[in-house]
Amino acid sequence: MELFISAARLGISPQGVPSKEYLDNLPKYVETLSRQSWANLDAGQNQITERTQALAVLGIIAAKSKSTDLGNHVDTFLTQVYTFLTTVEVPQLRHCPSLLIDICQNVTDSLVRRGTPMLGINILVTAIRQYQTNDRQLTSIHPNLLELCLAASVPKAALPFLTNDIDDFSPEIKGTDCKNLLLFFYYGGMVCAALKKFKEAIYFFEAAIQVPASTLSHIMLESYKKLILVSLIHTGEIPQSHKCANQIVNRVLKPNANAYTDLAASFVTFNPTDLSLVINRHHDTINRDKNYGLVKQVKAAQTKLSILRLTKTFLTLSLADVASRVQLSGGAQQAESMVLSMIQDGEIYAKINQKDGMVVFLDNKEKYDGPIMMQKIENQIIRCIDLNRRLESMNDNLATNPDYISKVLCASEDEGISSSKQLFSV
Amino acid sequence: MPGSDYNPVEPMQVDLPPEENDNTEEETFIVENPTLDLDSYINNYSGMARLLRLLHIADHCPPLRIEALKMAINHVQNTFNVPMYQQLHKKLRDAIATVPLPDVTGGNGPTAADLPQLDLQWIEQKSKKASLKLEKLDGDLKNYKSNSIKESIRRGHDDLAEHYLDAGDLTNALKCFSRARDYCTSAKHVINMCLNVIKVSIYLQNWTHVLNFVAKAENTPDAMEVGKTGSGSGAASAKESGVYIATKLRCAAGLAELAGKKYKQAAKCFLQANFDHCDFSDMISPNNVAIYGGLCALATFDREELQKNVISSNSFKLFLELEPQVRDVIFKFYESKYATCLRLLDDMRDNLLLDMYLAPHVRTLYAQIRSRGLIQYFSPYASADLNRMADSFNTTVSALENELMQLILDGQIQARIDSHNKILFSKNVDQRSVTFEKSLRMGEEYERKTKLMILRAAMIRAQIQVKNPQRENQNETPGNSNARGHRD
Amino acid sequence: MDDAVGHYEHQELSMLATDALRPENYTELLASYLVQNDLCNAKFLWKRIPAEMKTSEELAAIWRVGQKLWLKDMPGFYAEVRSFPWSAATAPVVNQLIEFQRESNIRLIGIAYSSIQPLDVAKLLGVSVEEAETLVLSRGWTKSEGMIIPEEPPSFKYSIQKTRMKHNSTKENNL
Repeated sequence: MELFISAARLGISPQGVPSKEYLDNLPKYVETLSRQSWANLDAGQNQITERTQALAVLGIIAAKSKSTDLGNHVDTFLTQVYTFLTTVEVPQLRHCPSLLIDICQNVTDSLVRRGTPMLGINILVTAIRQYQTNDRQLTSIHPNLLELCLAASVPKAALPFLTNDIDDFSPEIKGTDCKNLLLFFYYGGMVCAALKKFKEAIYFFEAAIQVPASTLSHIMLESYKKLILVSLIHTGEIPQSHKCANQIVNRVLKPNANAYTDLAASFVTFNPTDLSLVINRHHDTINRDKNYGLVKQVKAAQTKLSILRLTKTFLTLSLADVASRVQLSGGAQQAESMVLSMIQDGEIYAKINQKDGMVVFLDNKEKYDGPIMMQKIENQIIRCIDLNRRLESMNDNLATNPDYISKVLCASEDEGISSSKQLFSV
Repeated sequence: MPGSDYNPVEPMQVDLPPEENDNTEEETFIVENPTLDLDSYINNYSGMARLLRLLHIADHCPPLRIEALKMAINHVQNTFNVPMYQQLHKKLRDAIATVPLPDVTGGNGPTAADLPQLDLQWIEQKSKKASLKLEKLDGDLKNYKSNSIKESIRRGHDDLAEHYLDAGDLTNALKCFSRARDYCTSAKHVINMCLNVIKVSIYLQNWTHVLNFVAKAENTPDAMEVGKTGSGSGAASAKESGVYIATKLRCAAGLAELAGKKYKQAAKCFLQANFDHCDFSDMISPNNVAIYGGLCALATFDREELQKNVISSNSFKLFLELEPQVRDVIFKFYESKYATCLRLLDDMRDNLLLDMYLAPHVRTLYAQIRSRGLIQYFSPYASADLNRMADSFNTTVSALENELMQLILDGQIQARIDSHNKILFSKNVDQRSVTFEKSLRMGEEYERKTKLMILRAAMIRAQIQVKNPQRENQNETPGNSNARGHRD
Repeated sequence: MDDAVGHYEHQELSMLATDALRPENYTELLASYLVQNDLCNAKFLWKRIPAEMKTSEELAAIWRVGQKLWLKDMPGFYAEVRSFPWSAATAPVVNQLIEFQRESNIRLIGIAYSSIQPLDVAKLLGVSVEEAETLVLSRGWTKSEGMIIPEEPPSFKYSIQKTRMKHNSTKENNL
């Protein structure tokens, strides 16, 4: 410990800038420290008081997070981490990102294991906010936070981190170790699906399967399965594979998600008996994939969509007919309550006449002439223009990037090029 | 399934998996009461086409099975197709064995005595002759090749191919016909090669191949010129005239489009056939052109197109004369006599199912014709009585409601059903609202796609790629230094 | 109400033992979600409330109310809100919830029915048939051949749009 502190005094300048040598050795020091006793580490941490030496404190905290003794000191440890994170000067954190990332990972793992995931949420929120350079930057800590939120049943707490379109990545997430990136999209989709924000869930699951890939990751496969279910629930349609998704992924995904493609094929026939059969047939797979909740919603969505189809074809229909056409076991009474519930949710427009047991289906009353609708359309246009601008500026950046130019001119077997070309052909 | 026994998977056959569906559909049906006169029907066909059609009938029509198999055996004994002979003979034996005994009152059903002996001597002789002929043709070809006379080599390939075809080896026939391609020296040769390849590909049901070679033939410069000089000088037979070739190519394309379920395309192809030059019994008969063309047109053309391209087409009229039933169906449909039209179609169904190329599509075509009828029936009305409409379409009101529901959902009829009063009301679509709705949806779609694109671009820029962990370890350094490596 | 929700949500995530929520806090938070018709978050809240807190009778009772709302079981909902002696702190929120549900059901009947039996109106509003009739007749609805003939609320188009807009805009902000 004394050695560690003196090394820090030597390695970190009074302005708080560490030498390269010190940075190189730091992970080794941390490794050694993590085998020391908790009391020792505490003492060391208390010895370092200079704010410029924050990196050394971070090292000790990292060592603690690795320590086998962590289980006995979780509560005080969490407070220490939180206090440290809220007071540290941000540049200090970024000198050695791997330490911070290790800490977050270890905190997540141990809290999930202990069954108290809620305790870590604030720490990770702070860690992300301190570490990321802008709020569109994705870091390795993001998936940890989402995991905690899901484990703690507080999906709402994850939302602030899912609302910004990602277009930047912290250094450690770049490259070919995509586990964290994929996990972020996967958990992101799960959070949104849990809160029934299906449009957003579709976005995340789609994002997961279109990560550039030369091989299929398990996380992508699971995302694809959930994408099918969520698409059926939200749009009633099977997600189309888009051009920009990887060939290899499209080829490998479908055969591996058999149960789900069967389900989707049955869904669009609007035959509830058949759908139930398919669900039963794949019961085990669905359970194993923990998708039963979503599948139940798919089933309900089919009924709703069937009713919606009726409203588009009939002016009037008896409630008994609604029940038989949609194959409701509860007869006219169930039909009435389903129609009522859909009217309530603004999904259909209809009037029930209890006197003669008929429903009259009406058109959407929206005439697209009110100020609110205009506002909505205008907002959408603004968002599209903004997206377009971002796209153009990225295009310009890329087109003038010497790397890109030399790549395009260079050997064509390079995988990177084909993907960049793909990008422009969309 | 006809030809399945010698239908080896073609290496070029990449995009045909949907045919699996046809197979299942095809194999399940059985025709019990055909009104077909097998003899006169089959005389329209020669060569492999005849054999394949007989096989289809034998597979799907028990009452005609034995007759069809016997005809096929008669035919095959004039060829070198020994495996087919054996196969047919076995089928015939099985067929006779499964036929129930004739009742005592003296039906003249087939008995074991009807089974001709398996002609072992014929088999041996033919096999020997076939291999001798093959040897000779092979030798000739090698000879031509060593002398490198292009024209002889081409003919050598063609002769060899013809022999393979005669022996029922379609894959090798196709190979040899295709090899002649390198030795074509004139447009005429190219066309000839294409026609040969098309013929065999049709037997193999390799429809993409058929379409490719039709396009190749039609794009051969001077192709039609060949025809003109041919018929002009009188030196070439009618079979080489441009019109004949064009008709044959269009019919082949029509078959392929039909098989690919592109019915409108198929109808257009068949409608371009010239009646006076429609003589290729190794492919299809003029009767087929009338049926395929007529039904496809009925299923896909609107009233105006039907009037212009079918009913008042002088050349297609001649085809329709051959098939009065089809002609009646078309005219009744045009006169809005749907009940009669549908009844006529029902009468024809069994015979159509005995047609190997049409059978898989009968159900779809009938359904589409029916839908067209429903659409046309309602088009002049603001409202229609469902009871009367059901009468006109030989159906019940509730079945009609289901049919209409599908058409409305598909956007083919703009209407709503008043199930209470059993009336179909046409519905004026508010174009303005529809446009707004559509553009909002498109905006949403654009947002979604653009966001994904930006994300993907960002990932590519960050050189993010999911890789196999093993491979990653192997070439970690080159992988990571991609960009840097190229900079210098 | 929003403040209360935000406050408790924040406090729930705090690591300080002194900040830990008590059962009555959870009850208030849960009830607030219900008043906002945010059943999704209500469900997750119930899921994460520590087991030892769930022994609180009032907390369990308010969740039973939430379950009925989740199932859109109106008679069940009214029965649940009536069957529990709510504490002074919770009672106003529960009353607010009843008022909200009753008001939106009156609107729903106006939108969704051209004729409806008085008994069904009574079920949806959680009152006796007589009370229901007086209540809706006072709003200008009529009665004919034993059926109630509802009037569509004049602000229907506007209000539906408004709620849907709100819904959509939150969605949009989230991505």
